[in-house]
Amino acid sequence: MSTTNGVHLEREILVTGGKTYAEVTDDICRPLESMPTKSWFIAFAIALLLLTIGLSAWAWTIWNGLGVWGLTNTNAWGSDIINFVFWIGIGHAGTLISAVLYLFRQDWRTGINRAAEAMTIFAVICALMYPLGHTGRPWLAAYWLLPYPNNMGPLWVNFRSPLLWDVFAVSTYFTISAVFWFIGLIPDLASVRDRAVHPIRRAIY
Amino acid sequence: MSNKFWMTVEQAKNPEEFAKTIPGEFTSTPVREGHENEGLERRDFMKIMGASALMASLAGCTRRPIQKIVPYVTNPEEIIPGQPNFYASADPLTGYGLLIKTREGRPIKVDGNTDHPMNKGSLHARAQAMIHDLYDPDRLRAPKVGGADTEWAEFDKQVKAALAASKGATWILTGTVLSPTLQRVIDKSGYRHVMLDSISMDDVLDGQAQSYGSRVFPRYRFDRADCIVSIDADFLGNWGSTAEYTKQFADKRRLSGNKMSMSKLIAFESAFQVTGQNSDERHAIHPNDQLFVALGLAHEVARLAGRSTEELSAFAPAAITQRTGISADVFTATAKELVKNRGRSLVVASARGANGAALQNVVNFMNSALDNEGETVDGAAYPSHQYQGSFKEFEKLLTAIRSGGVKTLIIQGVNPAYLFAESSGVKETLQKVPNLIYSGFYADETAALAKFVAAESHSFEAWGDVNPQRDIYSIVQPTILPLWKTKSLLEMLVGWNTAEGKESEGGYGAVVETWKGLHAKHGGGHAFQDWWDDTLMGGLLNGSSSSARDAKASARGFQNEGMRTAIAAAKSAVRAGAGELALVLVPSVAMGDGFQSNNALLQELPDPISKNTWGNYLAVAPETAQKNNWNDGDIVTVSTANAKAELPLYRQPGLHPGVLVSYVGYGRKFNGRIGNNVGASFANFTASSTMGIQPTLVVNGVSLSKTGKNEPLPCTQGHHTLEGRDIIFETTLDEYRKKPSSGVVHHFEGDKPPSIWSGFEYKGYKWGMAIDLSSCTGCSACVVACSVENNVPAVGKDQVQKGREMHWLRIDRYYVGDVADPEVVFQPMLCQHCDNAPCETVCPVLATTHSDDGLNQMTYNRCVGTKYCANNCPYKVRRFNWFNNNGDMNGSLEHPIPLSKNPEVTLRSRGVMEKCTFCVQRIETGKSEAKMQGRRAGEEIRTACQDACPADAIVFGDVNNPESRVAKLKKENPRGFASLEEMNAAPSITYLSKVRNRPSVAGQKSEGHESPASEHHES
Repeated sequence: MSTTNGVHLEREILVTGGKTYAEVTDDICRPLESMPTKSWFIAFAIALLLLTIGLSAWAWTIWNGLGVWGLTNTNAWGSDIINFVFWIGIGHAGTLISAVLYLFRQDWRTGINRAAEAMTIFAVICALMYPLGHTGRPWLAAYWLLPYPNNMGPLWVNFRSPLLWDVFAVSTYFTISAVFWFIGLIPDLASVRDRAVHPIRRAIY
Repeated sequence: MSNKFWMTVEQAKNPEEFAKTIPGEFTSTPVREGHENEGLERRDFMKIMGASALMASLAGCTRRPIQKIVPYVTNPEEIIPGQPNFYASADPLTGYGLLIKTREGRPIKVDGNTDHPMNKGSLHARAQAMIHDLYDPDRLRAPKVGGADTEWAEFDKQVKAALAASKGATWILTGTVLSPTLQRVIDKSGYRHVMLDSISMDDVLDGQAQSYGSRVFPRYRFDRADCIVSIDADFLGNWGSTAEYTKQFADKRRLSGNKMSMSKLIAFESAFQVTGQNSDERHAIHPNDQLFVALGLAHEVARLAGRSTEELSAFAPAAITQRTGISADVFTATAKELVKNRGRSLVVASARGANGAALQNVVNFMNSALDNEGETVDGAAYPSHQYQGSFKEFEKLLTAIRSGGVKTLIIQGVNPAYLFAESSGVKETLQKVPNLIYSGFYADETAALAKFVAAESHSFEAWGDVNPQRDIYSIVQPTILPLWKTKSLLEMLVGWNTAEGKESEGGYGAVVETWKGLHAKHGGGHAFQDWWDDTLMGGLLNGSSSSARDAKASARGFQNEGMRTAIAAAKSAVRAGAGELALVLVPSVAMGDGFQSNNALLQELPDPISKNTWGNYLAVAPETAQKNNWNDGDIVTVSTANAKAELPLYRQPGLHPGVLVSYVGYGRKFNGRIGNNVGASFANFTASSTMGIQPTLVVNGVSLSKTGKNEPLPCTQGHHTLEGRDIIFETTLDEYRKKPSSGVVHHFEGDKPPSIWSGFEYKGYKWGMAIDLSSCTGCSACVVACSVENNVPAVGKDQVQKGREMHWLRIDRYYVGDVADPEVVFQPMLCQHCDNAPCETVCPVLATTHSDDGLNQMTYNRCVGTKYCANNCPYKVRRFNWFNNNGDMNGSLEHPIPLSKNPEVTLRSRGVMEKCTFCVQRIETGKSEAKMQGRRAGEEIRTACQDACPADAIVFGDVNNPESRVAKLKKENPRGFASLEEMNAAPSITYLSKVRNRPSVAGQKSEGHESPASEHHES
């Protein structure tokens, strides 16, 4: 317990219950080494259902055309642009936890930073999906917005377009977040690998 | 300045409240494509669920059907693949000269023949859309006997037998026949011929007969008139020969350089028609007061012209004011204007209800008193043949049928079963004819009554000829073989009247025979074949010199009897009851009489004034609507004692408070998948006790009740809010004479704001356009022409309701002044091809770029559909393909629609943006032709809208060529301005300000909505 008027501030104990490092490692690796629980399956089923609904909506849009949304010639951008900003916001929360708390040397973040960074990455993926789905031809937009070398002459993307810089910003954000996450994960992956019994599992980790 | 124009009633009445509504502009909720009640079906949902993952991956593949291209084995003469062929022809309905563009043997575009003395290259919207009638898949494809398809041989055999059995008892009912050949064949056949116009001109014809002794439709000459008074005659919209009149009217009023004069148009209108929209002064009248307005005016004209007013004494302006509520000063001032322009003025009128001939007599009296007869009204030298129908003759036909005197009746070019009220008994009477033969395009209302239904050829598929005015002849030549088993009426009649065993000479033979007669008179000593070839190629036989046509015609003597009848009629004329509503029925610019209602382009053509599409609506003055708590889009039931119709309500500024206005030509019941049941039919309202069989166009004592339903009007303006910026400017002629640039506000010193960049230098061509808002009448021919040229699809009512129409060119309508009596400014709005295009900078994939000749280009292939460009366009001219507008998922359109497409313009797929290209295909063709000839391309490159414009308001060309018309208009014209100049998008289109020929009234009209309701309109 920290004191409010004491001489010094004492850190809160991060791991209660007097666990050893080995026990902590056991606890952390357990979900990877055992069958998921019943409640996990229920949660997974709900998530899968939501995903299916989302994918059906996507498929419906792609099959019929963007006109199934309530957009018009004057209101050409709809709620998917709002969703984009929303998910970027969610992603920023993860970054806040992992990066800002790191800069302030808040060690307690270590307990949640993997989850937070994972959240960032998946939030950014979600965020990218929305404007992609919002284009008229997402199957082309998915890669035509990137300045890749091609055999169509000097065909580049328009560097003056703010939207292109959105693509760059978000993809950079995604890359950095992924790297950041992965670097933090290296020791964890190592311990999982070392504990792995099955050779295939070992190879994967 | 910027707040004086308004677009909706709310905005005019309460700009602050209106401003609050602007941010909340969501127009609809997301629903699927198709009809709202379909929803997502369970089975569809299951399919989607199962296939979603698969489809997401498949969506990346576009399916392209394998097509084999086979070259011509024997190359047809004159056809070079990829090169268009042009054929001169004529429109059998109006007699206008046409120029039909064909590609690989199929007509794809129709324009006016510039050599034709009537339309001089212009065409109205409905004629522009003809090409889509030709390729309509719902057309009759084979003749029918008793409802079953048959072969022509069998059909002809049976008809011939029927005809043989009814010698002397065969009648033929047609629309106005402009074809001398058809007329000759009918005359020769011995059938009794009756003509009936679905948009009737009986009032004019009968009035002419009574006043001058000849039942003719005069040639009106708006190009000679300095002062025009129109009483409900919509000569710029639907009355008479509109494309011809629009051209004359616009030429007379065009201001340029030293020419600082224009004619003055004063309109008295019971509906708000194109003519009133372009008038310098407009007075809303009650339709029952037409005759009184005319008589009041006649009284003043007679007085000021020094004639006796004794007989007219009951119609002194004071008395008329009492009845109509229109100030006496209006009559005196209008008459002064007319008398001042004696011999150079023109009074025209179109009767709504009973007393049509009486009204025309008064009009003829005025024209004669003003010495206009012969000058601006030519009924003697070169009268028009465009209207010859007669209800009296039609009544004779009905009487003959009832008495059993008609064994066989052939009907073509008119649809009586749709035109007349149920209670008129026309249908029952027609059913009594033992052999009813109907020749038409569709299995329509009249076809349902006929034993023999002949599938009729389009005028692009058959030979014919026209003679729309005395001495003007054109040959109608086929540009394609009949698509289906169809024949023209001429071919049928020739065949039926050919003796057994002889081979029919066909339509061609009959036309040639007629023209051999014309050759004798007009051949000028050339061999027939040479003369025929030349005439066929040029598309015109003008039997008189242009100086003879331009000269004054002889004035016919006015006979006073008609005038006396008119005065007697006025004394017993109906008067509207207090608080009673009168329903005024007028043809619309898009639909006319309804003959082309299966044409999606026309159904989706926004009405010039209301901008509503897909169906008619009930227009009512905002004042009346407010009193009764009616709102836009309220579905109302309008009824009389024996008729009822349900349709949406629309508040139309500028209407008389005692009238409801709606359009005829809707509510068809036929096999057309597009036009069937669109809007409501008013046929049953038109039965009148006083007019016999003739439909009345004003229905008194209608009542109106709300159904409680409301649906958004399929309107194309309202979601194009431009937020009251400096979009358009206007001035008056007086102000213009003092200072030609009056009214125009510039935001920058010189052309541009200061910039550190000198701008791109256009070294070769630089395409630009000038649009004269003073000339534009809002007739919308350009909108249709653009859609046909550029394969712009119609998207349907539900999509228009959501604001997804695809028109590359729209005509924005702005009101000025007070709600009860507004003035109108039209502004054709299309891609401005801005030099600093805001759309180009934001496209992430460079799908829209600028060419080095100043075009804002759109690369459909590259577009991924971010829609960022549309968001960034200040003119809101970009159009997104929300669905696949060119067919189903397999990418195919129903046969034969693909034949109507212009092969030079890509069909845009789903998910890409499109917009006006300045007809880049025409520019490129013109450039390469010029290059081959080693010269610079010039005025021969014309955009489709420019070609179509009857008013020549649109001028396109190379701005870098100082000699070009467009460069001159842009550089020298003080009226020129860039729309939204302050945005500094540097548009390539220069608008020329609107000039009205009326005195500027300080603080009244120009201050817009602040002024109180005009006192003239309180009857």
